[in-house]
Amino acid sequence: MKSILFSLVTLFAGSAMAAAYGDSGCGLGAMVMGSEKGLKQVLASTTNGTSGSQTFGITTGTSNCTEGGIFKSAEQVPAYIELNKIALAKEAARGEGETLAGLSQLMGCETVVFGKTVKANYNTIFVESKMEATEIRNRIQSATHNVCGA
Amino acid sequence: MIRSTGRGLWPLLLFLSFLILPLEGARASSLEQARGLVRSDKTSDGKAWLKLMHFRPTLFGAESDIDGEKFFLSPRGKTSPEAELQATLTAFFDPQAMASKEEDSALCRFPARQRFLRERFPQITWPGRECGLLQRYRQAVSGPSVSLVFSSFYLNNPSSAFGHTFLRVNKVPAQSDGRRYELLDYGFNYAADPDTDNAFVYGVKGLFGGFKGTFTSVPYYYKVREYNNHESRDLWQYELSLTPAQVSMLVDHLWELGSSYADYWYMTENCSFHILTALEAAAPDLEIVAKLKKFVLPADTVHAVVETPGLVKTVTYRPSLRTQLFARFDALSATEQNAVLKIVNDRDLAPLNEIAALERQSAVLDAAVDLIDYRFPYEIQLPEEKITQFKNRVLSRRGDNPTISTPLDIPLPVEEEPHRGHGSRRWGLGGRKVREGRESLLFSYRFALHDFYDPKPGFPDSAQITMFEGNFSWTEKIRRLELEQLTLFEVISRSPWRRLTPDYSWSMKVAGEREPWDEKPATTVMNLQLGGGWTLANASDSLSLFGGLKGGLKNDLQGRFDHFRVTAGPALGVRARISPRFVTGAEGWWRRERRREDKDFREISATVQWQFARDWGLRASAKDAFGAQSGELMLFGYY
Repeated sequence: MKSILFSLVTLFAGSAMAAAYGDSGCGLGAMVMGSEKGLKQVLASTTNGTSGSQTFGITTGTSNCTEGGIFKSAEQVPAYIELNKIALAKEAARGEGETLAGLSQLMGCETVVFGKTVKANYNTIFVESKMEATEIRNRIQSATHNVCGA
Repeated sequence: MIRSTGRGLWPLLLFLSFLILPLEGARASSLEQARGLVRSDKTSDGKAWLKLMHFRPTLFGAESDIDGEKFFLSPRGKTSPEAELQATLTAFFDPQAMASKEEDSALCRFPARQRFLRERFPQITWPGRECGLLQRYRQAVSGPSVSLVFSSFYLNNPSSAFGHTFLRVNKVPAQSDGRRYELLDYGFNYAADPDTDNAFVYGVKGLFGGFKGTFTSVPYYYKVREYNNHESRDLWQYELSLTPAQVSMLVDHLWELGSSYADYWYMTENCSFHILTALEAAAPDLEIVAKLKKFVLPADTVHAVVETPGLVKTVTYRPSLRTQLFARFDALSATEQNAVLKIVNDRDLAPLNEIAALERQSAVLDAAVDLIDYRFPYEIQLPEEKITQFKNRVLSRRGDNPTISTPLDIPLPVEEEPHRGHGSRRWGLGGRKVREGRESLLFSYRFALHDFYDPKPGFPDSAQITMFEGNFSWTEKIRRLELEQLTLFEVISRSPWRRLTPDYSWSMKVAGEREPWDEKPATTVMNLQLGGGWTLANASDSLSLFGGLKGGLKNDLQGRFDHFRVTAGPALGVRARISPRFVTGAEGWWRRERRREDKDFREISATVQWQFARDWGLRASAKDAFGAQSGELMLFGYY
């Protein structure tokens, strides 16, 4: 049975946070899961989010980041970084982990090399906690471009 | 003039029509052929079509469980599978559909229906068209197999207390290295779209179909973050033996469902129910839904799936953050463990200096970060929180430490597999003897879910969740069935206090109870109880001791509020699990009750249960309450 408060992909369009997301215009905002403190925020975002507006295909509950139920290809990596931010930073500092491996795969890199390189550059990639996903991606790209080929 | 002109144009028109008609004629004849074949085949009465339309028998014929109008092409579609099939054929052969926008074309909106009809009637020339968005969706989510994922019980949220199920489509291994990246799979979820933040309104609407429920596709990594990390719930993945063709059918069918909705019923047509109907639409030979009970609990659907012969290929497990944290912490030395706790409790990295080797420092930092994430699942998402800023310092230190962490190897805990659990419902039959008093027959029924003496496999270890339990007695002298107790809702959480996770214990109960049960005339009392305290336990949790306070409000069920009274006092509990299927323990509550004058009561009981089969148990208990001693013996059947 689905939890009401904790379970929705709560990415909301039109908020200040969404605007901060960058120039892609995609409504992927900073995402906060759960907790009573987040209750109002989460509900607010769900009520103007998904319900009943879908006319075709399937939805992820994300606003205009997706098309027909999946992330637009340009949004795949930023969305992955945004939604996995906490686990990703942790695994980047450790140099190993499934989330890091998933990102490596999405960015077309070899897992072990990618993990080592991101770890070695941890403190130049994750410089502050209020970073946008695209910023993190850019920093990872510039740290790994020598080892990742593409 | 007019006539001659008309006559003169006819040959031209005839000539032109010969140019156009072959196409139109072929279409028309294909549609007629399709109608004829479908009719003689009785397709619309067939299992496959009925399941694809989510039809189920009702009192008045049959009806589709889907409530969104967009799912139906015929205005009578919700009640007539035949009308819907005819409307589908018409829409598929509609020449305008070929040129219309993708969103308006039945061929793009209903790919599973199309797939089904094409396979069943290969002799028909079916129209086809490009569906760009559908194609992209298929490419992004498709895979050769599908798993049913069970997210375990979550006490902290009533709507998740029974668990949750959803589907995951498993992609092919990556081309680059042949590995599977599960996080990059897509999950499919059915859930209510609540439109209220009022808990009461939510409860009522949830129970009585007041919310729309929708199917959504969600990246699996999001589900993992939500359940494993944020809520610290284990995930169990049951890979099913659907063929790749059936999985493609499922993916297409979920596309059809995505733009529609089905009214959400918390107890019946809920997440687990609709996940199974979607599965059966893609694999109509499966018969799981028909075997479900009226009220559908997620764990029961896992049982039903596992008990379907040959359906489950493998069971895998994704440990929660809590489990990972304990695995890291338990691998540390005592000094290192102290360092982890000091770092997190004092928010100070200095204790790290007491550890010499860089590698050991990295292990301490890894456990400390997991501990912060576990204790502050909400705060760490907010950059301005102090704990987030401290955590960044820990991570930064970890980043500077060159050691690469060793992946955790957490074996699947076989005893915790959800499908090994006893059935959610329980009936009981037994007897009671009051010392120097009457003997009674006892009858008991519990709708859900698990108590402290039920066998451990498949359930949370230190929790009791009761929803609707009724206990009745029959005594020869009285010669009628009497209500002993009717529990509407009871939750007891006795998560042990540990250095790493200093949890407290709490309990809540709403029940009607007869008291004292051997005095005449008996009075039924409405009882609202709350409790709190701490539980200590050994490492494996097989021996635990609870101490705390319990209090409550009571009122006679006679509509008189002067019978309203308050009671409170200390409570103790001890439990020893000798084996997963042999549990014993004792509970005591010493309470003072304020009525016209204060009165003290003592309620003590000791219980032992032996589970001799997964769904059969014997329970013996002795009780001292309201000044009388009694013994009980019950046989329990779970289903």
